[in-house]
Amino acid sequence: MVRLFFLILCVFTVSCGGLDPESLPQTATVSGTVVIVGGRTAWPDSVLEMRVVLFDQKPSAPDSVIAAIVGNKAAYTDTLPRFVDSCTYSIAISKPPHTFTYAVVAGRTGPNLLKDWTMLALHTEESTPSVPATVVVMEGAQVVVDFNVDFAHLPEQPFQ
Amino acid sequence: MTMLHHSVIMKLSIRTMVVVALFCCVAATVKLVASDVRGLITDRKSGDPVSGVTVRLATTRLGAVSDSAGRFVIKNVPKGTHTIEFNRIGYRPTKIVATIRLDQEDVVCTLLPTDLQVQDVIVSANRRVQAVQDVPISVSTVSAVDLDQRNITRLDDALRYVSGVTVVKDQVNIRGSSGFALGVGNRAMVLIDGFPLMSGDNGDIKFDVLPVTDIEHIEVIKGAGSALYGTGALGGVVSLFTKKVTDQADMSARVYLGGYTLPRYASWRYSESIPIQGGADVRYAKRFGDVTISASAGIRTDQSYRDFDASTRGVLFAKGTWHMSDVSQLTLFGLYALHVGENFLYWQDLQHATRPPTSQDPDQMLQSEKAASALEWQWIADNHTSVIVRTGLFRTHFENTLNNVTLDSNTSTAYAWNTDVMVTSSLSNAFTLTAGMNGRVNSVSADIYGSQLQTIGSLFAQGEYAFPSGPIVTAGLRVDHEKTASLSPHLEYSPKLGMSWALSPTTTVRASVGRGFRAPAIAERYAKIRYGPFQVRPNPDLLAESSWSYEAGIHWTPADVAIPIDLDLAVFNNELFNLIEPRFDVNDPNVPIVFLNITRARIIGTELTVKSALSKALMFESGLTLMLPRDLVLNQTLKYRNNVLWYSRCIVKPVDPLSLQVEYRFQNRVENIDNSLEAFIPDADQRVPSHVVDVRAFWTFSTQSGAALQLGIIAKNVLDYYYTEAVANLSPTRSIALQIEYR
Repeated sequence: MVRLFFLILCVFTVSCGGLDPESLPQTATVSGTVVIVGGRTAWPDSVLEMRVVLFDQKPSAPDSVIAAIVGNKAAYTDTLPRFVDSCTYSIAISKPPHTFTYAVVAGRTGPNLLKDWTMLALHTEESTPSVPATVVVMEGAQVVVDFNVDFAHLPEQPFQ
Repeated sequence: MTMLHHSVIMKLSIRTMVVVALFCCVAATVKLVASDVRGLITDRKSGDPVSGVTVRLATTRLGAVSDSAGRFVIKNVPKGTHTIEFNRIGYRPTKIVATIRLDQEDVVCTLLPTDLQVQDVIVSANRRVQAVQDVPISVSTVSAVDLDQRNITRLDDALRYVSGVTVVKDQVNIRGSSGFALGVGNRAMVLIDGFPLMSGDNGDIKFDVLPVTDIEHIEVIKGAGSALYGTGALGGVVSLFTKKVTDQADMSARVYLGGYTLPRYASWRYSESIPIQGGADVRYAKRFGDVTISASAGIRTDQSYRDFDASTRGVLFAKGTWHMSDVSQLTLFGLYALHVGENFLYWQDLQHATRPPTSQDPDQMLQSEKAASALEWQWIADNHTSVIVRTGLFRTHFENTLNNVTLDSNTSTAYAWNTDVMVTSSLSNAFTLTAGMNGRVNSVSADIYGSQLQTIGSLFAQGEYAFPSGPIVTAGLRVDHEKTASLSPHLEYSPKLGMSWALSPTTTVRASVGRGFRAPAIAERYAKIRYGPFQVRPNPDLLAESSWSYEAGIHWTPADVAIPIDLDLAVFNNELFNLIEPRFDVNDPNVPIVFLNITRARIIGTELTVKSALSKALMFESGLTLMLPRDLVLNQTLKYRNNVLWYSRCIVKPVDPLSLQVEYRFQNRVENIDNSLEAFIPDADQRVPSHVVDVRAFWTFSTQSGAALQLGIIAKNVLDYYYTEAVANLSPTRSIALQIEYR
């Protein structure tokens, strides 16, 4: 009886199983620098917060920004610092590979979290600056995407 | 406004206590003249006297417990023929028929010992003492022997091995009734000696207030219990009973110390030193003439297996009973608990599962206090009628502090006042009526909930008829009237109907149907709070949720078999209406969480419990619960529910003073959670099945003074299996503790 118990005990004391952080796909990141054209003095007071947002699909309406975030169809940063010349950002992509077709710096210009969003900078093709560029993130990749925010010349908005 | 609420509650409490005290003085003068039944109980094999036997006169409130010489006395027994029932763990339940003619009759009973614990005596199912087989619904018990053998340090540890029950962050979930509700609005009622311990604001259970060393046994009623217990008993009832006090002084003390082993993954080691946990409990109880006193204190500190999760808890409990006469007694109890700790809400991500998000302020602490006091008067009015009047107040307070300064944004003080009046009468040998009224007032003052008052008044009645051919039929109805500031007063009707039938001495069948309901907790209706990354928005229009529970079961204890075995099989169906669930409101600019009556659900399942004693040295128990929880609105599996729960326990006693215990708990992977959480919490969807093994070993010595000294090693989660019970919360990793107890 005692032998049986200690046999069971030996089996049990072998550590095993369950959640494993090392089994997760190797985390990929999208990171870069956001440069404010004109420096810190160029910031208008009306921009209440600023984030980098990577959308699976180009948002079709103002409220699709939040819908995409809640619906896990976008990756995004915390609020980035305002009234600075530039700042860096980093977004961990939890389930690579992943393709984002619309990468922007988004600014909230009013109290309505749902609707008051303006695109401040757009990641575009080098050859055709008005066309959104796709960001493909493979497993373990460290993708760099930089933005220039020019408050005097905002990109074409996805919605009006 | 709030001070007025609290003042009203205090006045009501004082007034009720005065009325109870006056009743007691009147009752103390009552002394009925009738026959006294004296008895001797012995062991059929050894001939030794048997102490601690519960002796009960069937269909009456009269009864006694045998003393150390195996003797008992039941006073004021009416002359005539009576069935006397004898129950004690370790012996087969026995009934004898006795005819009482003289002023004093002597009865002798011999009990047959059994290795298997069968036919527990329970109180909660119909709010009176009954054999578990006589009630029409599923009831699980954690007996005094169970609690004693396992020597647990937290009462939720005892509930974790009750079939069909899961415990997640102080929320008791019976047969899938509860999901993940941010810690508010529990769907199981928790009582201590009949007094509800549900907080007035969150409507939740506070396990850290429960005096673990004072608890004698626990009863878990599965399925809607609102017909007798009202709001909160939607999924069932967990009833705790404190220990009886005897003539002999009973003193115990316990100290335990241990730690968590370091996790296998380097990224989870928030410290290179082993996190320590430890605690101590002490209890003293004795009878002084007509008064019995018990008092206990406990402290527990835990550095935790997670960073920013350390806590210290203390609890004080005292209970005094004045045995005013043979037919009446007055009991007063009070408890106080303090918890100071860090506040781990969810992990940073799976890679850093033992660390909170970097945005969480490490200097922020959570402090909570709970205090309760209740007065109970029991009176046996005549040979067939008894009265219980109970009133009490439960105060809870919590606050967040930053560098020892209270943060105004998260504090709450709540008072829950509860008064019960209940009469049980055996109107004939076959018919027992239980009826009463109940009043509850929840008063809350909180910056996160506002000043709120919720009152619930109830009337209930239940009849039990025992047919001569065997079936016992139960029918009851409870009417609750709820009033709050934001909704017009409304009534809830909770009927129940049940039947149990002992087909033979070894086989009992049962069936029941009943309605349950739960009035929303004040927190669910009025919370305006930031909970981690979430905003919670009030919904004052939230309605009560309700359920209909259907169950059929069979209990079988085969006689004359080589291996004693006890089987219980149940099938159940719970239909849930207006189920209250937290949901993201994506139409609101702030995307807050709101509690909504959104779901119509159905949980169909079956439960099999097997107990066996291969010998005195080897006992085994296993419970398997299979469930199909469906959200009928979304036509998918109900969120945060398991499909399979399988708990098994084995106790081996290779040599007399040594007891080895192994417990295994399996829960299948939760199939469905709210995917929106992933937008706020990294890796929120990471979850696996649970395989948890706990092992205990105890060695008991007898000292020369007759006291016992017990040494124990308690290892929890010895497999060091990593799993979650709540979203983004790693459950406790392997811990090992040494324990010394004197009793």
